[in-house]
Amino acid sequence: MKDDTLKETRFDPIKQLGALLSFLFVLVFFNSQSEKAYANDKVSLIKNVGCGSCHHIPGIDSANGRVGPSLSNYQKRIYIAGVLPNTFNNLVEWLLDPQKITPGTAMPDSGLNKEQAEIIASYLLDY
Amino acid sequence: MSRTVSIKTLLIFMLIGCIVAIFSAIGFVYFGIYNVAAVEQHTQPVYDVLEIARKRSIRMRLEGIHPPDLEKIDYQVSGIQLYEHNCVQCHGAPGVAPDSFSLGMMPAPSAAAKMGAVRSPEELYWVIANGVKMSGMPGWAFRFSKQEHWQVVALLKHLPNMTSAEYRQLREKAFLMTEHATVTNGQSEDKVIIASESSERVTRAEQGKIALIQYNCGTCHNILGITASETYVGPGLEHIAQQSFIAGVLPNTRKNLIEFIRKPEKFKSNTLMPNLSVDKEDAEAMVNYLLEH
Repeated sequence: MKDDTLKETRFDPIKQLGALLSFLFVLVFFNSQSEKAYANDKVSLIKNVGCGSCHHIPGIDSANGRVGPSLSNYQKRIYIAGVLPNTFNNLVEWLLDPQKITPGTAMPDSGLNKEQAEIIASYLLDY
Repeated sequence: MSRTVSIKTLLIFMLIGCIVAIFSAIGFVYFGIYNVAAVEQHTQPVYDVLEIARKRSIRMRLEGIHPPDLEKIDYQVSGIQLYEHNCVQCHGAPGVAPDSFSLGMMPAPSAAAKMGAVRSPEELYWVIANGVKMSGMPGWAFRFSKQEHWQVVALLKHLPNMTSAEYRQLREKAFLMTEHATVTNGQSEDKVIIASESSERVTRAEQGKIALIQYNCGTCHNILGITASETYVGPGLEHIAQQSFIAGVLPNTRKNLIEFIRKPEKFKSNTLMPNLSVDKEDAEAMVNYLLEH
């Protein structure tokens, strides 16, 4: 009798499959939830800063400005603002103080701190 | 019985179809239907097929190419000297325009920064050594040593990370070190006017298109109606008409756009966009096209 129950728990493939599937489901569900929460943070920061009033930005509904260039495919771009190689550090520099890099540029200093600039840069380069 | 007949007729139809296809292919070639003129673009499907064929052909032949550690290769002096003597004339450099003769080439030679960013060291080495048939790219295998090939490859991999000022400095330093007096890279003095020289029957829009093609604008910018591979060196110009600023520094007016195309460095001293010595009439034609499309 004891042996039988042991056998049952060990060799029921349907139960095991069910357990595996529900485990995977939980994994995927929570993973996508946390990803989403993170992305939402970046998105709301970009919305608050108001990047979208001048730029079209993929993944941000209200961002459809035409004052500056579109920021779609940003990770493929070779240069930033036509003056700097497109690296993470350069992008952060540019976001923090565009006037320092191109005096007279229409891109304003948005008063970002370094951490915020890094979040925005990673959004653009990872999208 | 009826089944065998239907298979027979099917085979006959297929045979006729094949013969018609073969004869129309021969006719297409023999009657000169495809225009080989360099001033006319390839159609996008033809361009795409050629591009895929080139990429695949190169990828299949990379075996046995083992790049050395590119960080240890002398690109700062030898690499840049080789590049300035043999390559910049067609491919340009950060802030440096290609020579005017190369602007008439079809397909347009790729922008240096794009090649460095997109292609692997092995691919670059192969193309430099072997050249590419019918593209104008010569093979250098019998002119460069193996070491020299890698010096140019190393430079190309560094180019996308250089500003125009950095490139200028590097070039000056390289040539000072070997006391080469002049750098042969200035634009030729004789002006070329493309838009007005083209046949009088071409429409205004066509004039602009011809000018954009002839100054190789499509090697750095994605432009509607200009056949080229996708490029992200400069910004896409698809929505330039709705944009408020040019290069982020000039209000977007017709006049400003014409001026900027002709002398980008005058309005933005640190820009990577080179001065291509665009004639006034050509710049006007380009702007007409850009603002209307």
